[in-house]
Amino acid sequence: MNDFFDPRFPGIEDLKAHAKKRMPGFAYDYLIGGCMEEISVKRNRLDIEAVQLRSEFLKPFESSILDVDLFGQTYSAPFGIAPVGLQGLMWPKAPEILAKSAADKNIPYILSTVSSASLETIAEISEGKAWFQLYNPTDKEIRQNLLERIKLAGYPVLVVTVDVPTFGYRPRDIKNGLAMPPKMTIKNILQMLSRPSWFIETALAGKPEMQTLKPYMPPNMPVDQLAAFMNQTVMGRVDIEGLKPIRDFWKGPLVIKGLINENDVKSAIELGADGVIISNHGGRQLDAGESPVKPLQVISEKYKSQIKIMMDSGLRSGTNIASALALGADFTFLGRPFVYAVGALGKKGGYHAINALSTQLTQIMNQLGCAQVSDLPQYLVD
Amino acid sequence: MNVEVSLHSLDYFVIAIYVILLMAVGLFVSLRQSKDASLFVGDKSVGFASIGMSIWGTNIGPSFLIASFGAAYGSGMLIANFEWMAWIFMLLLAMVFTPYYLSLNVTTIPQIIKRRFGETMYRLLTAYSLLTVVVVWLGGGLYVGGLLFSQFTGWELWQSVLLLLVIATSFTVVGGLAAVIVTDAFQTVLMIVGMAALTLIGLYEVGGVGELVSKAPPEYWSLIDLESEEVPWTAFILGYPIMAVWFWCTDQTIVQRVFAAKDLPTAQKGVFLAAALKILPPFIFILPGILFYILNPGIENTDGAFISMVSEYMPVGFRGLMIAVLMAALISTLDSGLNSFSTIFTLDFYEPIFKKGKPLSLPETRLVGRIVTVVASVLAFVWAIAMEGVASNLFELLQSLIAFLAPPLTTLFLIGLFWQRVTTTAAIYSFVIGCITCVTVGLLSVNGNTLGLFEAWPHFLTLSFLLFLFTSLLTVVLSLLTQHSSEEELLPSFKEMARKATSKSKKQSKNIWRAWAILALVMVSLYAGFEILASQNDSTPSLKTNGNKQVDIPPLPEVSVYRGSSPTFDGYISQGEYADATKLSGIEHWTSQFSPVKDTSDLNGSVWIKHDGEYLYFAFDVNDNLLYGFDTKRWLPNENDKAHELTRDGFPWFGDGVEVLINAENQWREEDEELNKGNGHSWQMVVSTHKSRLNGIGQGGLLEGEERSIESAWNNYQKWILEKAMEAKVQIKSNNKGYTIEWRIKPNPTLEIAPGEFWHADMPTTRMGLNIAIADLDNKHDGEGNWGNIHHENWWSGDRNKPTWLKNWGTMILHGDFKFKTTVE
Repeated sequence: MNDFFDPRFPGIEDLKAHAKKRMPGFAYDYLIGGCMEEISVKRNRLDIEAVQLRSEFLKPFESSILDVDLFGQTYSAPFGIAPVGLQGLMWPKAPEILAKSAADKNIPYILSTVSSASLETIAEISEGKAWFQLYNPTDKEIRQNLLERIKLAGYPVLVVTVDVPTFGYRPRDIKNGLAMPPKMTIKNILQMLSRPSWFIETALAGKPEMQTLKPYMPPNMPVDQLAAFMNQTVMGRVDIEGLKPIRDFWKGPLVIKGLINENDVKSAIELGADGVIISNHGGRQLDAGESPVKPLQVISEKYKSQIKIMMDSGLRSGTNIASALALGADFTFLGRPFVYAVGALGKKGGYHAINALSTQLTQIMNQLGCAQVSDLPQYLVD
Repeated sequence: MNVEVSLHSLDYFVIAIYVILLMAVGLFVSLRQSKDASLFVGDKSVGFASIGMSIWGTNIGPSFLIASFGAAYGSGMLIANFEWMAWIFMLLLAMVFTPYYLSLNVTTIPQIIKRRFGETMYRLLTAYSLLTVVVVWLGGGLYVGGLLFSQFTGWELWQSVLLLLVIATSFTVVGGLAAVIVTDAFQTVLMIVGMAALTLIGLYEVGGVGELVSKAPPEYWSLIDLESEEVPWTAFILGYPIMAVWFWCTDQTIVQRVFAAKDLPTAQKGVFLAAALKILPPFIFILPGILFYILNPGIENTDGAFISMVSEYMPVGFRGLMIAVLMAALISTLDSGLNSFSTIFTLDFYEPIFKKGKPLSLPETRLVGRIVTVVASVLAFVWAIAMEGVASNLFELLQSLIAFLAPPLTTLFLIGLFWQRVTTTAAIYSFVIGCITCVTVGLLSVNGNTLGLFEAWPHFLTLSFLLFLFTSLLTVVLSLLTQHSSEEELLPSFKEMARKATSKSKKQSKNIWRAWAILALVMVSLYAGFEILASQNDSTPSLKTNGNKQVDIPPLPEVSVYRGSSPTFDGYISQGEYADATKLSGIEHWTSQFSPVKDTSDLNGSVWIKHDGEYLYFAFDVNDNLLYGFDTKRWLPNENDKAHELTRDGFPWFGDGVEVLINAENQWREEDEELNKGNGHSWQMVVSTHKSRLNGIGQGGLLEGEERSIESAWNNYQKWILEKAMEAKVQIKSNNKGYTIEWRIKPNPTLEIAPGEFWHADMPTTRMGLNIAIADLDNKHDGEGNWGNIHHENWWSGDRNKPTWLKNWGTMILHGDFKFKTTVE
């Protein structure tokens, strides 16, 4: 299983196409969708595709390794699995599948606060290797309880997302009336029935619910009140003051996710954060938002010595990963590609995607003549 | 069963599609048949797949569907025995009876008996067969099916019955057995798909397979329960074969499908397919019942469970599908019944009587057969409508009917055909006497009338076995006393016939035996699998001991209690009144001081706790099928003939009722047997359903609890009641099926957390000791062997015999404020 690779799907696009055939429309739409006209989703792709690398052949070169040291751990590749909400809706047990394959392949998996698996379950499955992504709850009691659970479960790294002060205006989800668990409208039922493997596996796995947050929800809350509940208790604007109590509580590595402005990175450094993830939330929050490509380069030049700089949004291949690393990232995260993989291949999807991306990246590094990940910036065409 | 189910136009659309498809299939088969095909055995062109699916579909009627779902809801997999044991008797049909029947070249079951025992026995059996077809296959199923259909559509019963009957009769009249078998196959597929969808949706709601296994009571997985009251294992082992031999091997409606096969191997393959399909019902008919129990425990009338699940959990469109499934279950049974009635009537009644034995011409047969089919459906209509007026336990009667109809026939076939010494005289007399005895015993036992001869009738399955023994003995004795008469023919033995029949196709018979062997293996492993599941789960519940050593000490329970809205203090629990309270459900699974609750209809329910800043509220909703003092005499325990005196000599808790125990100061010494103090620091009070301090015997309410032996405690408690520091209102549910209680407690003087300091809502979160008990007193014999003959007493916290020790109480965490400040409106 560990080395699973399905030659039918060499690229992420192949996985995406197959996943579309296996996921109900509303789930697929949620996964691929972005904010408003989805301009920033496209821009993310265009910008990262524009990055060019230059090979060097005649110098001595033996081989390249993908290993990266991060927060006291040596990971086997310079990429990890980004937090994706409602994963279990897109494919039953997707968080469990991805956490397990990430742990087996020794890369980080970040569990979303609004995931379908409970943080305790994922900590166990990943043998304590998974990271936790926190939407800082506005309700003090819930926040404290959640932080204590995260600590107790033994998560090594805490990632606090700060780029969701609003509910992203996502036309696809609005049209579909997206909810978790899904509403039983005729349209949704027909979509589910037309995806029998999703339907049967979902039934066997049980209805997708936000297991991590479930203890805080009033029992039997109607599905359409979930958004209101989330707004009031869990989500909300997080400013530097909001981060301070978390920094005080959390002694381990703390990562701030969703920064794109240099000023925010400075504040994060002042706060004493250990890492930042430069990101525009996969184009799901600000349609006119710039892609993280250029900010990444600027920020890494200035602050690389002071804080770990990671990046996500728009990465779909080994090429993209290499480009981001060449721009100065210490590490990268990909969200959608791994969910496509699980949608297309179920349990084996996680392994396939990790193996495909690693193979691609290794080929690129060998071609460049680059021995280790941290040397990639030397091959960037400025 | 009065559940309102709202249907969407999409549901009606689905039902319409089903009806149209069904009619189309029926008419297509009818028209495709050759002109000279028999209405009764088709044109012998029916394939084994259709035969197998038709047997399966005919067997599963709406009353089976409703009853097995309800039984699964109430007691789990036990009912699956009726499904997973059937293959043995279908094996008997396929490998023993079928070769025999086919080699005798008959079309109806009575014709076999005619050859063996002559005219008189033949007539008797014909009459009996016609009667059983009407009673078992037509009327009963139609009544139940019509009732269900009416509930969904809101139609009158007669309208539903008429519609269903017209659909079933239409293609049966035109196409005969071939149309019946092929449409049955279609409906079987529909039932499997529909019920599988229900199962999947149930699993989805429960939270998947893992949750199902962990949430279902472990005993629900056991197929072999020696102490079950519903299906006692010994009764099952004795009685089921008697029913099954008749039903599977000798009943016209089932066996007719075998007669329609073109040859022996086809027939055998068909029966094998039906037997293999019998693996399914427990997974798709019984499992959903268990799933629904997890989702929604506490339904009193389990016959209504199926409808409740459909209306509560099936999305739009699927409800229509489920109605189509119910219709399919009914119509596939009904059409088969109509056809076999017509077959027996035409060939065994009309032909011998009106044609004086001259063979009917083909057109005449078809004409008579068709007319009789219509007449049978009119009979069924009348019978189904008539049932509405009959006793309310008719549903139950239908379930046990087969058990009482079977013994005379099983005797006749098993002994009559296997033992050549049986004489006609013996067969006739024992059959007649047997029938009369069975019907009499059946009617008496269903009504619970013992004629004062003994205490209670045994289980109907045990009765079935005893009746079989009786008729068999009668047959043997009478045969030995009488001589063979001239009109009987000693049929060749089974062995001879079977050898003759199978020698033609040795290789095929080898294959079919191999298939049966595989099926047997599958069945055995299913049984083993479920027993392992039941026993593995068994070790997890709290109170398993290994010798004297506790294997697993369960943690004491905790409950957080919040502020909520003030309820209307009237003893009723109205919709939403306690939605903001903390719920403790499943009292039936709490620690039992006396007999554990095996049958949850005996006792189940929930408790809610909240406060409104002024009072602490406990609300109880208890379902109890038998209320002491209401459904029973106010009998006294052997231990105390003053139990009902409202003095310190009485037993306040003797009856159905609840107790609350609070340790407000939340202190105890870690020593055994330390009890409450009988004052505001810690106390134990009782609310009885049938007596109270304020209103005396006959009216439920508060009573002084333990330790009454301490005078100060008695005085404190009485003062609290009289001065309304504590109040309780009790409401008995209609038909005495349980009760609700609202109980409110003033923190001052009853929650004294420190000397002179009483709990109030502005305090920081406060922990207190808490225990709750629910008592269920039934008839004296129900609690046989228990102290005071108390049937059940279930405790929220603590082990058996120790729940009143302070150190064993659970914890109530009292929050001054609402659970969520920003309540979602």
